[in-house]
Amino acid sequence: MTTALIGFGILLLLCFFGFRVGFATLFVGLVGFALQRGWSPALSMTGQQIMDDAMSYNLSVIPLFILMGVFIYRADLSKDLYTAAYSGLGRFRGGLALSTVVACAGFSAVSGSSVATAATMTRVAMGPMRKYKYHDSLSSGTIAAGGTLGIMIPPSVPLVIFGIVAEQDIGKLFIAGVLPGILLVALFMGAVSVVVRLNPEAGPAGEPLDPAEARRAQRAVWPVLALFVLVLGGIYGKVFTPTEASGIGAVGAAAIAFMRGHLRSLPEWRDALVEATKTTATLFIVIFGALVFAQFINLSGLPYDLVDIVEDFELTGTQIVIFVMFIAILMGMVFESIGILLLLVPVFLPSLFAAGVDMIWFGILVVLVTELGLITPPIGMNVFVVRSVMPDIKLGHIFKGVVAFIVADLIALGLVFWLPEIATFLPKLME
Amino acid sequence: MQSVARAVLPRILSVLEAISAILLFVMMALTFVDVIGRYVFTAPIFGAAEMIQFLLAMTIFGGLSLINAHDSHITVELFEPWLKKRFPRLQPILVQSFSVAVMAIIAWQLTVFAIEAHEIGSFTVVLEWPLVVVVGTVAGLSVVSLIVQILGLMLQDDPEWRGDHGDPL
Amino acid sequence: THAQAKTRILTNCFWPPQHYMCTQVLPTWGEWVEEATDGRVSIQIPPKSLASPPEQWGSVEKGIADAAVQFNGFVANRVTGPLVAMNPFVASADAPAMSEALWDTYQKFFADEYKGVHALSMWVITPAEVYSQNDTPINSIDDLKSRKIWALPGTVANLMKKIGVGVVAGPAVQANEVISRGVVDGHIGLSPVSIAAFQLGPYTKSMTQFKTRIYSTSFSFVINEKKWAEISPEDQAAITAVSGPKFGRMAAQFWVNGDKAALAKFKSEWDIKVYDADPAFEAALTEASKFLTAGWIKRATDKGIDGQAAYDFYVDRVSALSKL
Ligand code: NA
Ligand code: NA
Repeated sequence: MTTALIGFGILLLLCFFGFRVGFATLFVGLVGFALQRGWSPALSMTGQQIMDDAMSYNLSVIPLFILMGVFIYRADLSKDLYTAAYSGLGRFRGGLALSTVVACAGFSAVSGSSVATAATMTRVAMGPMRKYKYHDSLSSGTIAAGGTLGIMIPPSVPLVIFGIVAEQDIGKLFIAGVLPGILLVALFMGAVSVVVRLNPEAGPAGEPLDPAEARRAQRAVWPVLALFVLVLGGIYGKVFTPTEASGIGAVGAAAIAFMRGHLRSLPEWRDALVEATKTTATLFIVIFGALVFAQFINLSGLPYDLVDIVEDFELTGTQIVIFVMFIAILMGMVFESIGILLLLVPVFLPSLFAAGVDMIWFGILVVLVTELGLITPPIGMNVFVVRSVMPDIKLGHIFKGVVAFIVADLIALGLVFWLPEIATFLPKLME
Repeated sequence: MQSVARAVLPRILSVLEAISAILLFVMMALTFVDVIGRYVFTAPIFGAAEMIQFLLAMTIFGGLSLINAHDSHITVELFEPWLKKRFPRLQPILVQSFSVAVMAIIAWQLTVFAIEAHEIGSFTVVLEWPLVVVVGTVAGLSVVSLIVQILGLMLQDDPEWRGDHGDPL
Repeated sequence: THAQAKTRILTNCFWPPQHYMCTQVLPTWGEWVEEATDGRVSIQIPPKSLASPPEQWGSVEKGIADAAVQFNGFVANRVTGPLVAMNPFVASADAPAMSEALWDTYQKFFADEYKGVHALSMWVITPAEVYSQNDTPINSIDDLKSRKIWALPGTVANLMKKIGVGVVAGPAVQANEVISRGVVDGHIGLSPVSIAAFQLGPYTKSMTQFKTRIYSTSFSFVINEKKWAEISPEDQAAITAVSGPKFGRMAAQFWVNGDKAALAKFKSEWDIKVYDADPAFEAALTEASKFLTAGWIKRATDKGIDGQAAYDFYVDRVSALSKL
């Protein structure tokens, strides 16, 4: 147990001082393994582990869903999604922020990344909200938080990674994400309403939209909805595997982009494909590192020590889950989403299994917590993304604007925790 | 040395970009065609799943060179800005040499893995292709990733090169 | 006795952590070892597999784990002998008997083949059967030829290809993806316990059983040679006594029990009919499979094993020991 904790300590230090997360994790894992089994086995294990994971059929969904997101990003849909949402919600107080949340949800339904969602929505929604004199903290906070929907509403890269680490059915996890995703959308809209009720100047109502413009924008919604239904419906009905769904999703997204006048030249295709490849590689180097590190933890005895602790103190599944959530929230303050999943889940897996915790439910809880991590200080990935697109907003203002959504996230976490059916109802229907 | 790197690196990278783009495209197309073949023509592609596995590995290591060249890896920027201010020369050198060292271990071990696959004479499970062809390509790409990473490190003080890439977004 | 140096064997389990191999079979062996060596040797099973299924042998050789179980189909390039049990039409429903027969054959014919690792035991699991996914049971070569079949790669897939059946081959763990989607109308290569484990019951209508079963799967349980040499001769003997056929029978029995439970569900839950194969069908398929047996005998002979004698010996031992 001590070995593992020292390993974690060194890893955190390396990461905090700017060493690249993937390389640092792999290095600590390798050395930790070597100290227990010798250098030669540790090196062989590293090579084997990387080759196995690089050739994992299940992991092949990651680049394809990333590619789907890149195509959708390039399809320039966000403007229309936003306008369509505005046509229904714009006239209410805080209507532009409400529209932003709904447009984020729409984008999330066809994109697996929260960063892409936040980035594209910043470009689209900040302008109008400034025009109507929305407070920067409300508008930027809404976008940063709305972006996190990208990883709860399927498709979702973190859900895929959880599925791999915990050996759970990725299809079921996606289906499980649907209701919590809808719940979050409702809660985020509630958060906007509360903010504008307390401070009406922060988000005034917008003007009604030209009906022709509204109809034009609404037409853009249908392909998005169709693609979401095709991908999720296919998984739900077991018509295809998640990997196949991701291939179909990517082709569908490319078709949408093409119909909207994009992806019509070779350089455009090349740029999109290269961008997806780069994102894939950044993720996989972290995945490789974490899986090598997980093998060190695997040998360290920590997972079984935790099982013993759980048995000695007669902890229930619920209590373990609370404990893990607590650590995950702390880690989420500084780590980006994937790191939490990859470092934390393997350690607690045996105790969670021993306590009979429903792993689909647990997966949804963990992803909710990682969503929270994307907007909590000091390191909130989505906050940084909004800031990088809008450099004139102070970081502090965005973090202030995000507070209401952190509360909404915590409520969602509480609700899914007390009512696991929110997560498990739909996947149970699949059986 | 720097000028050589400056001349060579962009060319290597544009070739690697093309390779990775093609690999990912084939992966998408293969998945799609397999499903369509299965449902529309009841003729799935034999071994499609296995081919996708191989394409994944190649795409990852093709993409890794692009990431390595610009050192656009994921970081936790907690104490990093503070350290960079105090040790503006040392911190990046330390961090990047560390990355290169770990990358060297990866490339080395994947090469060893490929050589073993050749010596044992392993075949892939479904398609029964010689395993060394697949893992050898992957190992080769990882070596290229390492070379490109070193070239990128040599150019890290070159403002023209560093301006070459925008926001990693 | 606590003062004595303790040896701990890091024993890998590549099955999912909840599988009986990881929760019962290997832990039971660990208890036997500890008891037989008066606590001088114990085992540790990591919570998660240290290597992928094809890499078990390699990971033992390299010292990543000390001991591990290897599906012999993945190491056909290293060993030929234990694949005698994976020849067509040599299997019996009595998996423990096949396991003992394989161990006896190993000792007599191919003990030299295990290099870099020491063989602790070997076992054979319950045999594969033929399943139909539509209302017509499969009971003739023509029944087979008229369909598309999912088959386990190797012996079964090669046999099907040979007689001209449209084959979709893939690893057992991916069987559900193919079979549940109606891509094929029959499948060959799984034993009843796997039908239950991979949730294929709802997609399967009938099963056809041959008298001598079409195919079975064998595993080797191996330990790193250096690690083995670290153990005193006295303890080596003690471990050997609780490994070999004793371990093989114990492991195989879990598959027998699994099959029993699955067959009960065939009746109660999924309404899967069980048919005995028409003797003409069995004879025709046995005849068609001769090339595979000849191929194995040749490969074994090339490796310096008396292939024909080993094959005959295994077949005789199985029929002598089988009680099912
Ligand atoms: Na999404
Ligand atoms: Na955070």
